[in-house]
Amino acid sequence: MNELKHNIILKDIDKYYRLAYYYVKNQQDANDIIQESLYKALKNENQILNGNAIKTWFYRIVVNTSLDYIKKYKNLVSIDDTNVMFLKEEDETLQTDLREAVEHLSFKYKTVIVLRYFEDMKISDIAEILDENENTIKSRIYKALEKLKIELKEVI
Amino acid sequence: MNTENNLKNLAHEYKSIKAPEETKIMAEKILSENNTVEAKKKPFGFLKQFTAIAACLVLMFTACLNISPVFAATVKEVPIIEKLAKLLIFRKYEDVSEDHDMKIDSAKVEGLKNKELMNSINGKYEKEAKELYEGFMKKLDGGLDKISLSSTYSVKSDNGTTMSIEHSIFEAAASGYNRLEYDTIDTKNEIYITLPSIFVDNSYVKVISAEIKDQIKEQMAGDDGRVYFTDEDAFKSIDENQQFYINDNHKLVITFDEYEIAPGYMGTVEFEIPTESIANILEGNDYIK
Repeated sequence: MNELKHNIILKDIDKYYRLAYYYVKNQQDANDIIQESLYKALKNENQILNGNAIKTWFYRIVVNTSLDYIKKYKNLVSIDDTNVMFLKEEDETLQTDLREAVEHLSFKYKTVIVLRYFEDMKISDIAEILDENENTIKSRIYKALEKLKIELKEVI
Repeated sequence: MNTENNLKNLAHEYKSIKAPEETKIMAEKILSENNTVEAKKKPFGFLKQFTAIAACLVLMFTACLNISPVFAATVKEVPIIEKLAKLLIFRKYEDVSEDHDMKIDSAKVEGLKNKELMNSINGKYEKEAKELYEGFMKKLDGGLDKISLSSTYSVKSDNGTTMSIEHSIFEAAASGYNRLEYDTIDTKNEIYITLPSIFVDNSYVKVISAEIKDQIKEQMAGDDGRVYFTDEDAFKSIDENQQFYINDNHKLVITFDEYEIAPGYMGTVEFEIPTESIANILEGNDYIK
């Protein structure tokens, strides 16, 4: 992979890391996932033609690697609280409930919530990352929000 | 009632997660290595083979690039064992630019006595190349760019009794997708071999599927990270005409496209079927030993 492509990935390393971290909830596992994803990216580098496609391409690798990691090690994933942020007391109950609700979502639903509402991605980008059509993604988001008991004025 | 604000707060929490220094250092180290890193998982063997051929082709056709999208020149001649026959593989369509990349080969069998068999195979390859070309041009005309398509043929195995030709098609838009198709021929008798024709009846579907399920279980229990789908996409049964080839050791190998039964990073997967497990349903030929 040439330097330009490397830099595109390195520039967003926080984003890729936090996605992996959000799934597995500990630094070591997240680190392993990112490492594995980078190896895969190098192995498949000739699939990528241009810079813009790299982000969704690498996100896809991270999502798939995270899923595989969870499937393989799901009994061993542990939780640390290195990165937990605490909020004002009055919000805390609702906030905690929501935080837990999102974390209890299944992999599929968790992924679309994170990518759409935490990373602010476009539906079309999410569809590309997950290799699904846009309608599937939209309906998945609706279902996830239902599970979270959230009403938004405008979902998309 | 959870509100948008709660979600925004969670988003804020999420965004505060940063990659630790050790992860950043590790990433920089990995991305700065110029060579392809040692594969810990199943190597994309066919891709390496394709990449080698592609490299040769690029060298040979540098002068021809961008001049004409359609041309043919012999690229590779592979002799077929014990026959005065060969497989010719040649570039049929090519269109390489900054935004897109198309390299479509076609192949031709020459020298077999059975002209009908040859014409049927050659006709199939010509048709495939044309369809791939037209499909790609349609995408381009439709405004898609950053797409690539590579299609080539190679002799996968040639053991004196049977020969399998591999057709490898690799497409990429934002991510890559590879599929492999095979044609297997009885080289002695010059007959085309289909999967059903190898067996006495169609119990082979159940028998082979059971064998593959066992191998999947075994592989997933092992520790080199091989993963297959286990949810609704999990492997259930082979198709009656599942892609297959007979390898140089006369063993039946069943193949699957990328994403068919396993996550994308596993690549295309294949399973060698132990002859003992199918011995009693083999038709009386000696393709499989």
